[in-house]
Parts: sequence; structure tokens; C-alpha cells
Amino acid sequence: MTAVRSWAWRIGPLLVAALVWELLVRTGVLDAQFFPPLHSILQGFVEAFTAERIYADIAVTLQRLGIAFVVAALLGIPLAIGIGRSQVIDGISRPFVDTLYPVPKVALLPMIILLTGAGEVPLLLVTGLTAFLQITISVSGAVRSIDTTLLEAGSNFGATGVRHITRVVLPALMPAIFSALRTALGLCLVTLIVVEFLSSRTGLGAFVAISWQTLSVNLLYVGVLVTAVLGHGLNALLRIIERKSLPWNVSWAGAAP
Amino acid sequence: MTVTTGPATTNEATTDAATGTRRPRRTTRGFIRRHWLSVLSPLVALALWEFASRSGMVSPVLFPPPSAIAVHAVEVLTSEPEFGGHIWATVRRLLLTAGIAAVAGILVGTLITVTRFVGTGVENLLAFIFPVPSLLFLPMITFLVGRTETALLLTAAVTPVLIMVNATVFGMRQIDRSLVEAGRHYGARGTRFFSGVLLPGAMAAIVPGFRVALGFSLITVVALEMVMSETGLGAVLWLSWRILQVQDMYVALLVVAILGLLVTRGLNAVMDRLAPWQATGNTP
Repeated sequence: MTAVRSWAWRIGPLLVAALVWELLVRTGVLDAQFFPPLHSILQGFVEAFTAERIYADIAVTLQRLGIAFVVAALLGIPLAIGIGRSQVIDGISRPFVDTLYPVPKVALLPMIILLTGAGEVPLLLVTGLTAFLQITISVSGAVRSIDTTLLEAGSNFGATGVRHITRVVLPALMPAIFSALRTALGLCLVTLIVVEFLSSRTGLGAFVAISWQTLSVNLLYVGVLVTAVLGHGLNALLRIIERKSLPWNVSWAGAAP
Repeated sequence: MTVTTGPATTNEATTDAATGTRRPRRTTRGFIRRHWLSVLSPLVALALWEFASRSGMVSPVLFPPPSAIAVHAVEVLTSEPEFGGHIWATVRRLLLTAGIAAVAGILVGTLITVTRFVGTGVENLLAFIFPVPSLLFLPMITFLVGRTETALLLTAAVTPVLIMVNATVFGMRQIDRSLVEAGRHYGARGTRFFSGVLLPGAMAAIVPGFRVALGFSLITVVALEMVMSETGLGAVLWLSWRILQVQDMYVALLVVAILGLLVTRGLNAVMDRLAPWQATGNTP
């Protein structure tokens, strides 16, 4: 029952917004040439998912996101643990992480294109860097605030070296890691769409940019809506993985948006 | 002088924020003794770059040595008023975008909080569009107001506004009920209720929210300048790359990085000074 109600609360406002949109278009407040009525946006959906290449674009975006995000997580989590546990690693990497973190990663795109040539690599690097820095900063903060009783109990029971990391530090960090991954994934998607919009011919960002250039207004809105759905879908996916892999952790229960 | 103490003070503010304690100012020598690795590692990186570029291991045209970039930066910043104009254009847009975000965000956030039913609907609607990058709203906004400066500012403000709405709603919902009721009892209504109870009560969430919104504003402003403007640092980055004015690109990147640092760390430092009772995190 509560599930039905929460879904009604999510879908209802969208329907109302669609109705308001239709009214504004019908009454001529919004120019129908640029703000098409609902049925033609729906037509756009049908067109995009039958005749157009939106499957390919979604697939390309997901593939880029997957590569950039997984590599960023695999590099970022170990580095973050290193930063949290070792003053040497912290000292060496802090200037780079602290300087790069607040820089809009999109601004690095021209430099990275110079470095690697145009194509797939600069998109992946800019996107991956966004996620990498976010994960490194959030997780290294969490490493420092691990409950010391946990660490001491671990070492008393003989967890040292690698076992110390895998059996004590990592499990204690898992909730923080998941929360960092969710933030990073959101940022990663935003950055990827923006760089696709700027400098690619494929992917959802490019789909919107091209629809705009060719004034295929229906497809333009389809692209924006699909991006929104993709963002929520990926976030939900990470939440499900978190719930399955950390059944003891209750942070997800109250944190749903 | 400012060059040598600049990074030192920035880092010092950071460590302060991280440990949550305020230390007396230290000398540059003391700073180096404690943080010699953090001083050394960027210097080594710069030296390697310098060497690689000078020896031709990487193309000196595409990757000019840092010393040459530094010289060029000083040249450009002191003798080319045009470049100063670009910096000012970006800073101005940044401030306007953040201003729009603060005003619109707090306004909408307040309306969402006080009108329960409609408010929850609007909140869920905004939550739906939250994952969409601001840039994707550019076409729609240009349909409404043309390819103008207004379009740039409004588009740049989309995500920052949503962040401010979230922060405001969150802040207002967690105000202690007894404070709200006390306010009501003493006759605070309408705008007075807003300015006397809701706003100050939510400040603890609004201020950190504004920090995040400001950071996002810098991202969206630079990205939009790349897409649709002839002025601003984003435009310099995009155009100088296209015509291979590589040194200009690096200077623009440097200035953007400094702006980024000012926006996050600088604001943290200011906030620590203004509200020392409220511990600021290391990151926004």
C-alpha cells in the first residue's frame, strides 16, 4: 500500500506537469513549433525507439559510463584507503587531488584531446577523472573516521597486512563506499553527457545536440527524458546492489529520495 | 611573496578544516617541515614536465614547459586587457548564476515547505529532472529567450537552483517543531515567519548547499561558455584549442583551477571565519 502511494507521488506530479505543458501549448503560450504537444513527443518516442538510432546511443553512453566508472572505482578505492592509512601516500597525492577536485573536469577536455587525440579516450578520461576524484575524496574521509575499536579488535585477533585491509578496513568502509559510488555515478553521467554534447557524434549527449542542430524538436525532448530515466535507473540499480550486498546496513532505508 | 604563501595558506586552511581545529598561523618553514611531501610532489611533477618538454620527449608546441606557461601567464595577465575581460566575464556569470540559484532556490524551497500537498508534487517533479545535466536544458531555454546571455545564465542555473531547493527544503523540515510553534505563538506570520523563523532555522543547511551550488555553477558556466559564448574562460579554452593557441589554453585552465579553489576552499575559509562554531567539512 505504501509502495503504491509512493509511486503515485512520483508519477502523479509528472502527469500533472504533462497536463500543464499540453495546456500551455494548446493555448499558444508556448510556441508549438518548439514546444510540441504531448502526442507529438510520444510520436518522437516511437520514432526514436523504432526508426532512430537511440538504442545505439544509449548503449554507447552506458558502455562509456561503465568503463570510466569501473576503472575509476578500482583505482580510487585503493588510493583512498592508502591516503587514509599512510601519511606518505597522503602527502604525495594530496596536492594533486585537492587541486584537481574543484576544477570543472569539462575544462580539462581540450587539454586531454591534445594529449590523446580526439576520439573515445578523452571522453573516458574526463568522465573517469570526475568519478575517480569524487570516490577518492569521499572514501579517504571515511577511512579516517573508521571506529578505532574495530581496528583494534581486528589487530588483536591477528588481522595484519592484506588481511587487515580485506577483513577489517574494507567491510567497515562498505557503506561509505556505496554512498561515494552513488554520488560519483551521478556526477559521472552528467559529465559524460556534457562531453558527448560538446565533442562527440555518438551517445545520448550527442543525440540531444544533433536533435537540436537539426531542429528535430520531438527527439530533443525524448533525449532529455531518457537521460533523466537513465540517471534514476542507475541510481536505483546501485541501491539494489547495496541492499543485496550489505543486508546489515540500514542507511538505505531512510535515505531514499 | 603572495606566490610563496598562496599555496601554503590554502593547504593550511584545508588541514584545519580536516582536523576541525584552528591553529595559529605558522611560518612557511614550519609548513614545509610538516608537509614536505606535499610540497615536493607537485614540484617533481612540474620538473618532469619541464624536462620532457625541453628535451622533446613530448611536443613542446602542444605541451610547452611550465616555465614558459608561467611567463606567458604573467604576460597575458598584465598586458592583455582582453584576457582580463574574459576572466571578468566568467566571474560575473558565476556570481549571477549563484545569485539566481540562491534567490530562486530559497524561494521555491520555502514554497515547497509551506504548501504541503502541491509542494511535495513539485519536489518530486524537481527530483525527476535532477540527474539531467543543466546543459541539456539549453535548447529549450534558447527556444524561449533566444541565444542570449540570459539563456546562458538561466541554463547554467538549473542544477544549482535544484541544489539550493533541496538544501532549503531539507533545512526547513529539520527545524525544531517547538521553535516553529514558538514563532507562531509570538505572532510571526507570512514574511516575518519566513525571515524570523524559517530562514534562520534552515541556514545551517542552506550555507553548505550554497557552497555546492557555487561549485556546480562554475562547472555549468564554463561548459556553456564552451558551447555558446565568445567570451569567458570556457570560450578561451575551446577556441584556443581549436586554433592551437595552446599557451592561452593553459593560462585559461590555470585561472579556472584557481577559481575552483577559491570557490570551494576559499569559501570554506571565509565560512570558518564567519561561523567558527559550525564545523565545515573538508569537501563540499
